[in-house]
Amino acid sequence: MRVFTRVVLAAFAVVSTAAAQRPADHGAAVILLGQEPATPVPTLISGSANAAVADLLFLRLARPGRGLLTTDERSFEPELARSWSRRDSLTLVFELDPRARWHDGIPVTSRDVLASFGRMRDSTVDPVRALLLRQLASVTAEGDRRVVMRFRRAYPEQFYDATFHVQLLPAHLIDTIPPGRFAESRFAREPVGSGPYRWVRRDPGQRLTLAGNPEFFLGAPKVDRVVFLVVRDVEAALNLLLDGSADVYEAVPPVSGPQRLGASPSLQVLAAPSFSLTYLLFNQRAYGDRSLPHPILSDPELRRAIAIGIDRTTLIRSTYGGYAAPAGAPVAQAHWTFRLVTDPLRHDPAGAAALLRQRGFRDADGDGILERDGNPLVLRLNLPTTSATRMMMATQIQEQLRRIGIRIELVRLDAPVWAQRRQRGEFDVDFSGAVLDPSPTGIVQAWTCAGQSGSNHARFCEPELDRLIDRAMTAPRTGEREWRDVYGALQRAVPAVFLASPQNVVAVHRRYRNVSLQPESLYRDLWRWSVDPARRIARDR
Amino acid sequence: MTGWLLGRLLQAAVTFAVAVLLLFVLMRVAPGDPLARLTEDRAASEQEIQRLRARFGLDQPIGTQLRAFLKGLTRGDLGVSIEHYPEPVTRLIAARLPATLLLGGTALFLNFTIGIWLGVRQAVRRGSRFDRWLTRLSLAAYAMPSFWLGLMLVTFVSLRWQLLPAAQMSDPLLAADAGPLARALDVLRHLVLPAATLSLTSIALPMRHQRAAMLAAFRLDFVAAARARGLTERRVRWRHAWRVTLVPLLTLFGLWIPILVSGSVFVEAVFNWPGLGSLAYQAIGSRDYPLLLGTAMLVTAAVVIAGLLADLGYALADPRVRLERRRSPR
Repeated sequence: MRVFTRVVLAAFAVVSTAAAQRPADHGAAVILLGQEPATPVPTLISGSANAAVADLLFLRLARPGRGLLTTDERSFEPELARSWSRRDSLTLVFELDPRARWHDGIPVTSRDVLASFGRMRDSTVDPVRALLLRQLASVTAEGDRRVVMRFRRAYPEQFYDATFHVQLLPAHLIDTIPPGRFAESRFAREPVGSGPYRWVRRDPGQRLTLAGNPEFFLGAPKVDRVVFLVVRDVEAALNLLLDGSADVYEAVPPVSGPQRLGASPSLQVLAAPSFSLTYLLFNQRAYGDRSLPHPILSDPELRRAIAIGIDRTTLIRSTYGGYAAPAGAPVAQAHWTFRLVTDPLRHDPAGAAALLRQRGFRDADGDGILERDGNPLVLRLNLPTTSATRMMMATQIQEQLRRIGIRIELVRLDAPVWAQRRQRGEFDVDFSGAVLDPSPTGIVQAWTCAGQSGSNHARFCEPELDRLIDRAMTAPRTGEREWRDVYGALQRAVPAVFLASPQNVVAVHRRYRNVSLQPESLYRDLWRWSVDPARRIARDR
Repeated sequence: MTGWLLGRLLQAAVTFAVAVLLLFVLMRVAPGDPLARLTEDRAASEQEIQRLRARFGLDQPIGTQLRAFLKGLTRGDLGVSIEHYPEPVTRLIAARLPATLLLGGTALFLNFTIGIWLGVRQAVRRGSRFDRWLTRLSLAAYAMPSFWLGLMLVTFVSLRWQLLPAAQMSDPLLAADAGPLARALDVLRHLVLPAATLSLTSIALPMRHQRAAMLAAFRLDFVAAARARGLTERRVRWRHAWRVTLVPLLTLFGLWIPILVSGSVFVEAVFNWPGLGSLAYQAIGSRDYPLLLGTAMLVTAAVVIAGLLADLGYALADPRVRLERRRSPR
């Protein structure tokens, strides 16, 4: 074995000395992803892995600042737009940065902005983005470097809509590709962006390699070789970190992971707020028959009883350790409105039992489960087997609710079957998880009457809440008071038990400096990272 | 022989066609929507879902889908993966096949060389301490779950003693200009633990088969006659006795060949080995019909071909097989 190891080391020594010497604070990063970034190209993106890579290749006009305040354009940081101004409440003007170049050396111009917005506002190309950009009336160019955007109405998130949803594509490369053939095009296979990293290659199912763009106009990346490895198994990912083959992993199990990785002196575990949310969704309509109200869950008082019968603090402690906060509404820790939520649904089993009694439920047969009109209080909780966290929480929820006389039947389903049943309304309670948009207005999709044709699977509809949401979205300033009212109304209606807003638990090698992880895109600032020269390892040289 | 071969080929083709047809229909009637997963954690409009259904032909009746599939099959086109869109299924399979063949082939090679050799040694030293301990050890390894043994090997060999990499098939940052030797050595380093895991948990099978077959062969008259003629023990063992044991080993070998292409989901998961087993597993989890069908077809083809090769092997190794086949209709 020793001889074999020596031969291998000798071969590597030859390989590494052949490589050119690089600056002392430059290096490489091997980042582990749980999903494969198969198409990290705007308009084709789905899933967080694609988004993580696309954010290194493609820039926006501007990006949300540190506070992620989506309603204040002054808090945004410039990317391809050097500056911006307003002509009136409906018109935004962007000045493009003259230093910006595509990876093939062609300057970024207003033609690129027009082409990109043209594609993304086309509902046949990207229906979701087209919906998000529906308030944008026109995008026009004034010369090569100035772009004017006009909106249909005044609202606080105009700037967010104009910048966050669209990563620019190079017009000179995409104009000749018919939208219907875009996914199969060479551009989709070897994308050319304007971001800090250039495309190198993708080995399907294994890895995706990027190289630092030395001409990047905001500063050449010091971590200039980046490999995204696809590792679906958590154990394999942790082993790769521990044996030094990988540098960063974003899905560290929050309870066992930090302790295990803590054994390695070269690793640190960091927590970053996320836009993730887990919640129990109450079906407002009968199981599998949306023409009828749900016999139990259409009553808000019964929903409240269930909500206060669950001890979220204990649940969060046992499943997330210190890496999550209780959520009181459909907002996550990284939202700027998170601090506006006050949660009145504290754990109160006695109160829950009283509410159930008030609604006519009694344990007539002494089996510990309440009945009404001879029907036991039984609810089916659907959950996907792919989520270990949800499986663990569900068992605890089952036990907590059993103590107040509610029997929960856990229906563990394969992910596609679980998602299908949710879409068809075949559930009493659904254990949902979501990664939300940075804007609190994302609430429209799942919690309004209009959302019933889309992702409002529970068919929750409260016209008064819709009115409050509309008021908050069009509030003259940030709309803090209005959003507070929205969350208050949601808590009164109890359409779901908002359980937790987990953090991203990320393992990062200690040799990196200036590490910052952004909630809306963890590796957005990777190009600002550098390597401590004293701690360089072989793959940095 | 030619007639027999043609008959077996026809039988294999019919078996393959029926299996593919069944796979196609069963996948479509199984619960679960492949698009539901794509839109699981984000909002999707009805229009977008319809567009995706049309893209993958899922809006068509099952008969139309089957016709389109068969039409594509005649051109060698297995369609486009839903989960890995826009990757064609053939490209995804082709990308994973070398890794699968390498791992499966290595395990197969180890099992049918070391396993056979050890089986013969056990038969020769029957009842000895070597025989007893090897039996215990091989059966203990056979009883171990492969993922557990894999994790143990990683814990000690990779993490504690730092001798070999914990996962992957190659070093992702190996220099682009690294020569073939450096690349081969790199793959070899990464191959050792997964191949050892697969082999250790399965080597008992050929070893035990070989031991039993060899003991039976030692009792045959012509082996005793060979010894009586004064041939060396080595020659008796390998030239005379061992050749008789080939037929049962061919059966075992035929059963093993499909594993070459189907891979091992657990071992691939523990070592993040980019093989077909994990690809098929992901395809099941996401109801990626085209990819699932593609991988299932490959395994079906391997099973059918392995059966055919095993039959052919019997016929070549033992003329009595052909004679019995000729007599059987009477």
